Amino acid sequence: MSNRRDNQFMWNPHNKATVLDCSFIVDSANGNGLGIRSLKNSGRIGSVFMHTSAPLAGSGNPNPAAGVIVVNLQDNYAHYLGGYSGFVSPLSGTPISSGMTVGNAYVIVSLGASTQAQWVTAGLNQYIKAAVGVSFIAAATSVAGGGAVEAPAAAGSNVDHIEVLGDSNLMNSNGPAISGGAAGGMQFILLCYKANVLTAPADNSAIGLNFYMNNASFGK
Amino acid sequence: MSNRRDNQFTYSPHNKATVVDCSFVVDSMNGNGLGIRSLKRSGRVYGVRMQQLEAAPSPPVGSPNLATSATFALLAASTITNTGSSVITGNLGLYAGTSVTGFPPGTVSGIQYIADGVADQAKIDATAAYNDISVRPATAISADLDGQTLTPGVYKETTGTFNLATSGNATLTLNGAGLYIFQASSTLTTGAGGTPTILLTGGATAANVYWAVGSSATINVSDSGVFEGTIIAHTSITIDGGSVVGRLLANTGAVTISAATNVALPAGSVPTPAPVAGNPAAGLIVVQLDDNYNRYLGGYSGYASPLNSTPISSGLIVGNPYVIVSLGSSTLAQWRAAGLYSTLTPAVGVSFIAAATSVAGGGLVEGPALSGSGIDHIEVLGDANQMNWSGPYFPGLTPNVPVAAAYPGSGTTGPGMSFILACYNGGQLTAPNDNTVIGLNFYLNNTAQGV
Repeated sequence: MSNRRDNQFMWNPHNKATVLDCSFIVDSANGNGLGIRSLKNSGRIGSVFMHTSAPLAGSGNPNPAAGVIVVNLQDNYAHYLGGYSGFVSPLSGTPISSGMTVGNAYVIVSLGASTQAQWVTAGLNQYIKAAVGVSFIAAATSVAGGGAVEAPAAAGSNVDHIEVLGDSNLMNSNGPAISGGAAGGMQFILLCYKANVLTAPADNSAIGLNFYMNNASFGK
Repeated sequence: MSNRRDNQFTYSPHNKATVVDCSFVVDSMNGNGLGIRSLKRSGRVYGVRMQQLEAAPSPPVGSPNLATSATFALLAASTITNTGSSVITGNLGLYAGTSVTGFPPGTVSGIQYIADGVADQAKIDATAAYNDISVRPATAISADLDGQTLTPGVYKETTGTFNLATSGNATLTLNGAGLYIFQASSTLTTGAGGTPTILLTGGATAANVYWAVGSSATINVSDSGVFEGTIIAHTSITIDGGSVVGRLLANTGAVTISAATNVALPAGSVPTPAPVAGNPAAGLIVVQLDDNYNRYLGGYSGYASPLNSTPISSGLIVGNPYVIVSLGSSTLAQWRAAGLYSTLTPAVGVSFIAAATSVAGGGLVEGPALSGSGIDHIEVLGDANQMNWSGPYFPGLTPNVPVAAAYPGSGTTGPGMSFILACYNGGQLTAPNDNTVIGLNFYLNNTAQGV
């Protein structure tokens, strides 16, 4: 059980949930052996693993089946109150500077020599500075100056939702008594679905997850 | 309006949201009248209810287990084709094919599952039922069913086919309550020369009649007739009109309706909504809060997959996820050898990624159900901001009915506002699978300011 209460108060009439957030990019062939890259988290997330085609000894990745996500937390909690997921679409992989469709969404993948004014003409919001990774709605069919953009991948992330496997409330109570450090905490196993079929998300999809945990010793 | 602000500050530049959380397990057959169990909540959630079902009458001893395929009136592998204004009462499923045509003008009262995990699982279950009933010891009878009167039993033909009404109108009478199984090693054909009728007498019911067909069935060839029972064909099923009280389940081929036909699940063959006051329809969730709030700022939902109900200790696939369902005598070391994460203690409900193909010591695990929760998202119904001021509201209940009457044993305060949420799969209102864990949160604003 965690000894960190993250702004919870034992006897508050409303036991605040502790929200654990993370996001990462699906990268099944990354040489780090994790099946992902660029893990970001607000804290309390120990590691995240997905299926990899490039296993790496010592990475800690159990190399789950395609479509499965393993999330190891640093701590344990008393109750799992729910979890939520969001996705960022990968890109098409086809850089273009012409042939855009007005009204469609694009992402800058190369600035080239395009000026800020040229990006704004192409559709970039005038208050946003052009940079690789910035998205905009096309207002013209081309980008002048050599910059390149990509459209989103046609199928987006290729998954429609993510589910937790098993009874996460039971998992909470089975970790070490002292949280954090090398001992680690509880583990979530999540399943990615498309049309109710376990499905691997597309590489370069960004997946955001949060977990609403309760760390008080009482509650309804 | 609640007078509890839950750490909100009225004049803060950023009006904090009050987040109300809960999770629960879908359990439509639970006897508590709520359709759920194991409600967990951080506070302010008074109660949650979903549709409560009551079991169908117990089938005769030895009845095949259709499992998830029981709710399908039409189920096929390659295509489903309809002609005319057919009326299908029950679900429609197709896997792995994707072509369903003829609806409309035909209608389907249930849900159409096309090339998804639900249809896949139903196909698997129908195939298992076929493999069961097609090989049971049987009494040989004439392949010509015209004029026969049979009592409950398992029957087979000796020529490869069963026929009814091949040379004029004819009736097969099934007399007596009990289980009827017919095994046609090749084909089943009715109505080739007249109108076929299956007459049920003496307590026989369509719910307890099964036809295992080795290749394909062709029903009501004369464009009329009454067929009773569930056909599970190894290949395909074609029907040319009339009516079917039962199911048309084609394991590897097509279901083709070439003239308007009524196909209806047999009465008493599937669970039905329980006569509980305010019982929501399938796929709806009613969440009753303790309090009212000014604004609804958004809500989110998440799911935990149910399991496949097949306990195993061997045959695990390395890399696949499993959940412990029985500890047996397996030691901690044996569970960790099977793949249990190094910080966890084994317990029923704990999941892990398999690192070996078996669990030593007698422990059992299950994999996730093939179709997961069976839904893809949840939506709030109506204008949730309008609901804030309406106080308790339950569909089907008289307004101002004491909440305690609808949620026996739950909560000690309230009532406040209520949310009605709808579960969807593929754009269709759909009941989530039993044993799915649903987590919900509601972002609410309880200040007098804000936009």
